[in-house]
Amino acid sequence: MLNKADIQAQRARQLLAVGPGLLWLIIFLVLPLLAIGAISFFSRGDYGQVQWPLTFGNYKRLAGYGPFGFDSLYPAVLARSVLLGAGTAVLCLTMGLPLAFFISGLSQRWKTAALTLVVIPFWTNLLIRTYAWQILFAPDSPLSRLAAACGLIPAEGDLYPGVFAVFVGMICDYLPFMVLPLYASVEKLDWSLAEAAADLGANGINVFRHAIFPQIKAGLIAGAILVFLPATGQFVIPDLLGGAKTMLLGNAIQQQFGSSRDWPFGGAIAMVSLALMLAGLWIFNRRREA
Amino acid sequence: MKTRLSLKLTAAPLYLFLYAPIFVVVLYSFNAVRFGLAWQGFTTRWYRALAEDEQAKAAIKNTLLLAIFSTVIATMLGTMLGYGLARFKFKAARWLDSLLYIPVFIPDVVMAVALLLFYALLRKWLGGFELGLTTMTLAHVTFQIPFVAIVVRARLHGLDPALEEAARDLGAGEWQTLRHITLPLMFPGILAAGMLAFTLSLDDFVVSFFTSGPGSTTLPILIYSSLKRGITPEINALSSLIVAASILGAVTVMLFQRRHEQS
Amino acid sequence: MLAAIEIQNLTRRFGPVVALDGITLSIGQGEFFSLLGPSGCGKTTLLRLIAGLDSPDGGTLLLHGEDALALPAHQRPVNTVFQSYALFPHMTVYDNIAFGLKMKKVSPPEMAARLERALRLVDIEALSGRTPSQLSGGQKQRVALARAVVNEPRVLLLDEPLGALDLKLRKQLQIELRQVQRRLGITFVYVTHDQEEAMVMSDRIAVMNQGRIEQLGSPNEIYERPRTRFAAEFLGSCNVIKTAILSRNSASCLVSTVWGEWRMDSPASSTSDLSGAAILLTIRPENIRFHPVEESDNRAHGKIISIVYSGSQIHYELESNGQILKAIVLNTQHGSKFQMGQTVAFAAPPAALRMLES
Repeated sequence: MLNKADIQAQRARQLLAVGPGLLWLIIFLVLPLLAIGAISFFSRGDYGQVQWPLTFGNYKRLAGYGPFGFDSLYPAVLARSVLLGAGTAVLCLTMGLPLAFFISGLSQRWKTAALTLVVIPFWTNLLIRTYAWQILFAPDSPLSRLAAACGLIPAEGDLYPGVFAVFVGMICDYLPFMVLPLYASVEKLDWSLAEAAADLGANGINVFRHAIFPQIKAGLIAGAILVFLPATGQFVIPDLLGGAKTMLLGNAIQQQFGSSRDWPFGGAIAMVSLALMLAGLWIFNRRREA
Repeated sequence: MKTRLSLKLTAAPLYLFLYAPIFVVVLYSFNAVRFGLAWQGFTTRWYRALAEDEQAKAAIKNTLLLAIFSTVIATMLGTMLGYGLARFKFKAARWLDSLLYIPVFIPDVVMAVALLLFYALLRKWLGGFELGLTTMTLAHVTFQIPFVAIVVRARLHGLDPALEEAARDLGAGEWQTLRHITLPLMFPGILAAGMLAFTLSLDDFVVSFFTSGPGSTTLPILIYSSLKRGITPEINALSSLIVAASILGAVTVMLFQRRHEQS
Repeated sequence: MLAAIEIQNLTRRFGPVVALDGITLSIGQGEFFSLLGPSGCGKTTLLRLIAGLDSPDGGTLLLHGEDALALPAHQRPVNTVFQSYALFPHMTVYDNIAFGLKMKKVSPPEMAARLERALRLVDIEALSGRTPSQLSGGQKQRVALARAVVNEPRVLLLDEPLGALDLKLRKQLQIELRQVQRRLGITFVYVTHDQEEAMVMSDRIAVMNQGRIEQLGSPNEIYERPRTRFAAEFLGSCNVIKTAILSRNSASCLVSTVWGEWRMDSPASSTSDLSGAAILLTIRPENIRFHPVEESDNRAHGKIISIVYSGSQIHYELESNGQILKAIVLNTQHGSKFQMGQTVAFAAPPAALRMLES
């Protein structure tokens, strides 16, 4: 039986190991987030200073209560961000899955090389990878001219800035991030089920639907959530590729803390973004334990 | 198994898609004309101009200083945290675990403005905390610690507990076990975590942007502000160098890890 | 003489599961003592409690008269050879073995001398510069042993050290381990699930089942006079016969079986009057007599339903009055050789019948 002194010594060691890091996170993560939450209930003065009274006004504004009735500006921002996140997740899934199958089908030697090639862009700076699309989508670039020739955009139109460019930038950023868990799922696949299905007369689509998809479903959902969560709060990509017309949560927050100098309102937007992320994390955790 | 050809046809454009941005940046860094994006001939003068660029040199210095300081602090705190989480079971562990994952998933803008506000409050109540390299370092450590802790914890979970038991059986006390057995075996994980933290700091833009002050411009911030004035080959040259360094670093780390795992 | 290990009523629970249920035993100095039982019986748990790698929920543990429970693992005068060897992968064989001496801050000259002796003892001098990943299973086992004995512990704990080795190597190392133990005079506590191994190496065995000791004694004692059905069936093979006691005196006992009245030697146990009680008897297969049978007690007939040759022995299975019996005969010219389906006469000598407690 461990005596009291031993137990106390062990507790002390636990505290010593975990304490400093935990303290740091409390001071520089929890407190600042609490501060943001607090400030979201304050009002903005005429010169941008934070002042009393406490109000729900910032949140009301986000929900659409404008001075002249329903103002859809910020609800639209929220909706657009959620759609962007969801869209990115779905598109990354559609593009990532064939890639995962492709890599999984390679011989051992090539597998690591192929996987590494997918991951390497992920290691380079996001800012650089994103602004590169400004070049690729510039008015006179080959891509723009091709799109115009195909009639996808009007002859004088731009591929960028806009929603399309933002999507492209997002997919480019998150695709490697998605391929890894997808690949892990595909590697664990039991192909004998697919063979059995084919043997019993199922065609290609049915084989996929009934023999393959159920096995990788968990991995797909995990990957989708992993992409959706950070995608809704993205700032850099919408900022560089979206322009003024495509406001999303990320650049909305930046605007309030920058040019608009409405910190309380910015705080409210940040809290909503945080809440969205926490809700997603909770769902993700629930799935992980199940 | 699906037909190989159809998969190959789908995979090839996807790889191209992933590498197109990098390729384009490198390509245009050699463009002979300063403005506009029309290709006007090959030149390396923009790279040579970089060598004289004081702003760029200052930014490189700031970026490296920031990364080194924050990595050292974060690796120490994160390793201790990871060790504590892996070795000790306590009731609050679930909550601590969730706390750990917040900086991993939080939108970087939210974290950035939270710190901005926090520093403003501290400035008002305690004085100091002017925005600069110090505030940036503190911010970087905050998002680095969880990554380090998670990697170290994973490494520890893979360690055979019988090894530490054998050490205790042979007469090693808690600290001796840690020093002679646990730490040496943990070391590759600590190194990997440190390199991860270093990369996160080097590449960070949003948090740095909000917590930086005059004179503490880092490379990503420099690129961003230059972009607002339009893309120039000089930026492309600087970016190409950064991309090359990142790729070189990533490949080196991977080779190092592969070699270590084999031994 | 003071016992090497004195355990009283040791208990260990893991949630609702009782891993050790009030274990009491005493191990003498210089003894080769085995803890024998199936997986989950608690033998490894008990070993870990002695080593200090786990703490009990109740009971006392004395090592050479001193309260061991007050000492953490690194201060107890015991060393362990782990099932997975647990060799430190980042150290050479030499540094692995020297580790315990280093922790105790033994002087360099003495360390060198002891190390040399240990290396020679297990015959691995040539390997001292290698790392564990460069060793075979048998070599790792020897390093683990050397690493433990170099500290000159008063008690050595071994947790199924030969489990991962092939049969031939295992038999060889069983002999070597026994020799080392004899030479060093250290008390060995040896955990195994292999009853043959336990019988070959041990001075005494504790047969364990579900956290309790079923029987404790020398290999001979347990084999010849098993007290419980579990002990009888775990050590070697046996036949279990249901009977009821008819009468009993000091010399012999009369029981009723499916074959009629049988006689057996009165058991030494001081159990109270068991008249009419239903009891279980056991007889080892090698004790069933085939020839000659006419003048023996406890005769019956049976039909041969299975014959298995295993080199030096022939294993028979007989069916007789609804009961199936196993018999073993030496494969010599005097051994009984039967055919399948043959009806044979056999006898169960009274002296070979044993009464089981449960």
